[in-house]
Amino acid sequence: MRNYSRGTPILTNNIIHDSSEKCLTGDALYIDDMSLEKNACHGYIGFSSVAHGYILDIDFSLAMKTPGVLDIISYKELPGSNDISPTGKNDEPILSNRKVNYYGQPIFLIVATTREIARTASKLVKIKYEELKPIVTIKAAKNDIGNLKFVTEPLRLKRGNFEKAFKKSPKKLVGEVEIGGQDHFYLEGHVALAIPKEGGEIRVLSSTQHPSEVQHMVAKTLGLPSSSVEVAVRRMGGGFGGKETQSNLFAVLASVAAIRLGRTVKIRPDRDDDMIITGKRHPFLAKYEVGFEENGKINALKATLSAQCGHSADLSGPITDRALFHVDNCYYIPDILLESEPLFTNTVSNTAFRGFGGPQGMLVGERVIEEIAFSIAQDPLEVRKINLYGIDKKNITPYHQKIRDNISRKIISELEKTSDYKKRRRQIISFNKKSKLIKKGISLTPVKFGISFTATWYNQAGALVNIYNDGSVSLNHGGTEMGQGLNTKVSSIVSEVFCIPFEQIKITQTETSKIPNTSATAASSGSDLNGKAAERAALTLKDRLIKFASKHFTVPQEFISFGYSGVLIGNKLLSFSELVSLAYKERVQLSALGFYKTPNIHWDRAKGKGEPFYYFSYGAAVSEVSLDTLTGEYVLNRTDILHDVGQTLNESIDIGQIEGGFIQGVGWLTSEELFWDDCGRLKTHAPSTYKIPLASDTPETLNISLLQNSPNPRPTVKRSKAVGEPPFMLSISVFEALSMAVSSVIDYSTCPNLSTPATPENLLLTIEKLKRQNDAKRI
Amino acid sequence: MKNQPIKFYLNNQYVNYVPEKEYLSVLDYLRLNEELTGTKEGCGEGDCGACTVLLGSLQKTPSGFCLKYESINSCIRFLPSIHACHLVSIENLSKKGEPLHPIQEEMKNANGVQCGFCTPGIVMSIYNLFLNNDFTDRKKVEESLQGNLCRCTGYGPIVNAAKNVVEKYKRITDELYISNKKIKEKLIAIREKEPFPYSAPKDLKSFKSFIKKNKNNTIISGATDVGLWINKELQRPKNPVFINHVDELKIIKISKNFITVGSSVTYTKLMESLKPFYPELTEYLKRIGGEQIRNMGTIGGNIANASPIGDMLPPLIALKSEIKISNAESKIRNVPMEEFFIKYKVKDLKKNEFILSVKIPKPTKDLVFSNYKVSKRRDEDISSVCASFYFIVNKGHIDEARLVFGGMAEVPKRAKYTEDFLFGKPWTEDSFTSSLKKIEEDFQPISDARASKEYRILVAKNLLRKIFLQKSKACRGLMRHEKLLAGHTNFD
Repeated sequence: MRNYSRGTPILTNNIIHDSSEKCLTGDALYIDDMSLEKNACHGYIGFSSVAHGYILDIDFSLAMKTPGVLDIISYKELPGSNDISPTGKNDEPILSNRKVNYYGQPIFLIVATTREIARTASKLVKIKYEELKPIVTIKAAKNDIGNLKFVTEPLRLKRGNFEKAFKKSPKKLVGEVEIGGQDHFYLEGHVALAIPKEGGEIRVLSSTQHPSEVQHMVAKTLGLPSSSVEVAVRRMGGGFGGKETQSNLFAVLASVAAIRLGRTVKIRPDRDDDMIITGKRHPFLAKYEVGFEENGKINALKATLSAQCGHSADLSGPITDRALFHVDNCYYIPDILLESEPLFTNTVSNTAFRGFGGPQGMLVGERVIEEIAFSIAQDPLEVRKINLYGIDKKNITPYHQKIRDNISRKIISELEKTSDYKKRRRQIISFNKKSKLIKKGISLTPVKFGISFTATWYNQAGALVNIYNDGSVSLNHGGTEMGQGLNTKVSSIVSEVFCIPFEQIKITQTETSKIPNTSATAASSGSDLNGKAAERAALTLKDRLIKFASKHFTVPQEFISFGYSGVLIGNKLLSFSELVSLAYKERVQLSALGFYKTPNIHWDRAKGKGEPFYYFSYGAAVSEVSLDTLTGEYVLNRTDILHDVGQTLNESIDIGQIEGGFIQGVGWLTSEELFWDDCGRLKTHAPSTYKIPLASDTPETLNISLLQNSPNPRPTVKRSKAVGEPPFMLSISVFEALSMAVSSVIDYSTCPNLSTPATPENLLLTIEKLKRQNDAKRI
Repeated sequence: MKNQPIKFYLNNQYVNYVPEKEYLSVLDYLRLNEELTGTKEGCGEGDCGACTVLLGSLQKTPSGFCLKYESINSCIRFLPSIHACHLVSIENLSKKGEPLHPIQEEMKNANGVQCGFCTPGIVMSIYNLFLNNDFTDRKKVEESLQGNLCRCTGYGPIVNAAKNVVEKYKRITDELYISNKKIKEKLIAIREKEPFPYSAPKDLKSFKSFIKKNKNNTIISGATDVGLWINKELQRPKNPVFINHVDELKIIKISKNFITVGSSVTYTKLMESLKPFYPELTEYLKRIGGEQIRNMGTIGGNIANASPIGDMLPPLIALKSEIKISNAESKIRNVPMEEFFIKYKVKDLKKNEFILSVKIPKPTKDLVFSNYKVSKRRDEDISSVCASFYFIVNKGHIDEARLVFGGMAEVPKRAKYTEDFLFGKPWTEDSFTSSLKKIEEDFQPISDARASKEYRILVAKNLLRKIFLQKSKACRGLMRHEKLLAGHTNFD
């Protein structure tokens, strides 16, 4: 059963995703669907089969002889720089020169007349390695005591005096939690198409969230100015962060090949190869010490968050930073010390993924709460409530930002009531007493998520609005469409400015030649930034039209208004297109750029102080589960979600983001398990072995509500709030509910040290461990 | 001989095509040859459903042929296997400028589309549900979507759309329903009048003559595993022979004591035919693959593939099934199922032999029978452990025990020590509890990406505890948790 209850719409709301019909009929074109010119060719990447070692010899002879093979590209053939580090660290070669640092590291590209030939030939290349012992896990990386190898600078957040406050606390706990990674599993895998143009210029179609970065990387690799490279993105078949930096590799290699051959080149790896080559969500190991009062109120917390970053930094710096920023979640912790350890491992370089470290950090905070609650035999919800941030006091975060928009208490108490949490928890506890094999659990967890790129300069966006002399409007902005409905939201903002039907606005593909220096469509910022930029462009045009009309009809500006029946100029009603046509003839400029940068944010990383976030998004979820204690299998019986999107820009799209984000989070915490063998080879690289949720894994009942009457206190576009990432973390309620069900086998006497994902195996083995520990205690 | 054309209908168009290669997938044919790019490649292994299409095929019934549409994964299905079939892709649902098909309309209105990449496949899976069912509920919809992954929506809107389609529209108004008779006649004409492609024999006789001529052959039926050899390992096995058209291998015969099913019977058909006799197997069978895989995969393929985690093998061994094997010269031999599997992927089947059918005994008196599958994800996953338990309990004592496990050894294997221990014991909790240690003598499983050896042993033991508790009704009233018991039978 699904119940969606909606907020009060303020826009021409509930416009259905603009690509919906095209996707449903199969008309929507993804890059691999585009028809190619006859002489177009295909590249296929060959990668390392060892996790750590040196390449001693490569034998391309068999591949070279294969009919249809046109070119083989190794690092030697790269015309410009051999580095695609997104942060300028020069630690991420496009193609390995000698050293290989992970299983899956690209070594060469075969280009052939068909994809099948290129792919088959790539398997004919023989590589000899000198193998070295790989570091595959966080534990192994940490065992190198005193010699921790970081891929990027760690962060330390400090407020107050942890040592002192910890010492003084009447109760203390020490613990740790292991958090697994996650593959993005965008349904459309990576793909890039490079088309050589006259004068050595190039056009690239890339399935990327960050066209500007692709542009710059291609330019750098080819030794061209960025102005000679055009990158376009119409749509992606899902991104989730997996196409923020990871698309660079494919686009860059396709471009190199296209320039070398003077022919269009497409690269689309097979699903398995995509999963082996590209980065994932960071696994974490967190250790913590917490001092608290008898009633569960936290005095002091110290936590070290070690992350498996893989062989290069990629975005691990800001990701591990964001993890630290979210350990506090909704809770005020007076004396706190948080440290990150972005560890080098011989695995794929982990990358952005919905939440960007936030989910891992938040889970650590929530585990701390659970540990405290179990140790004082309290309902964890009570411990949550007692520790919530205040409104006027107790409102400073560990990074010294003042929280001005805290609504977590309101959300929690409303959800507690509507979900009937208290009564259901009582019923569950009594059910567990009677039920021998099936155990139930329930948990309510809140979310507070900071909105803005912590790299402050990314918080900018541009948009271009053109009105044609027939009154039709084309809109271009720097954001990319990956299914989240960004284009629909931004278009409806523009349509509302002009009071014209949504259909009158043409959303065109994202083009670096139209909007330069765009930021990645990431950090949930898409509509905040691009919506505002587009609104500004539209307002500029509207202003020009009003000024023109005022002069043309000699009517004061205040007597001119735009409505859906037309533009009222004094007592004269003109249609939008009539006005536009007149304006055109009077040589009014009908094209405008809009620009937006988020105000009031700053961040001093060295000091660990600042206002990295413009505002926070809030939500909470209650989940109920049933667990079979003989096998560890479980079902999600019910989840209730109350989530804050400010004033919704499009309620269906927002609810879609909440539901989809939540289920994706459930996958992260339950069935999605990455498995590396001892040699560092990823063994879960296809949907046959890597299990994302199916329809039948979703809760039997799911109630989703948008928080009512909750405009963003910040002047964001239409007072809305970002929605991409925050709902992902609502899934922690499912994990904690499972934890409760597990602990019921020992009468809730200990908080289970449960790692994620909570697979049936993990749950059953944890139950067995708890039982053994409990038996040992009794003896 | 090799280049005979494959003839079929694609949407509303007749196709007469000679493939240049032996292993051209239906998906590649659609996307590369026809430039019908609505059907997507998501994984290339039949697991994500982005490539789902409908295949209408002629099925022999006592009253002649009927034309049935079923969903399949086009990425692991090869062209010769669709000769004389009607291939329906997403492009057939609504023509440009015409209203959307009800499924598309409902999906749109329910906000069932986000990134859109899984969408055509999901529409086709709902189409399969719509064409083959008059009623539906949430459970049925979830089953019909077991073979489709969506990473964006969380499925809620899709499930709602699917329910709306079945509730609001009548399938008799659908174009494929209306045109059924007409297309059937056309397909029959191809079948009866046109020569079959060499690699897709039309009957048992020509199949036998194929393997007689090509000793080194590769028999392909559902291609649900062979498809992965092709797409993932880039193998090109010699002399493929697609047996999808051989009606003699699709028989289902019910006699006094046996149910005999031909080796080319799909899981979907098997489920229907076993339901009256072993209703407890239905839930278990529904956990094999997704709907598309069950529409393609066959019982003969599952056996001949000889995987230690073939889900049908434990129940068939437990039930004392027998395999009927023929060679090219029609020499027949019968092998008890449990003797067929020799060691890891090695089986008692010679190169010029093939499986004709499987003979499954009907249930006997005093039978206690239960099947379990434990996997990381409930549906469309490969077993960590699967088990089939067969007991004859007479006057409170165990007269016979056949405990067969998958995922515990290199072949599907009986727990002989445990069986011996339980033989003659009273049907009591104590008998079961004390038998558990024997499991460790029976099995030394391995650890892999699916499960650790510790978990496998523990679950194997616990499943044995579970059947006792279930069948003893010890847990009556406490275990009304439908999904936890999917594949587990007879709970209240």
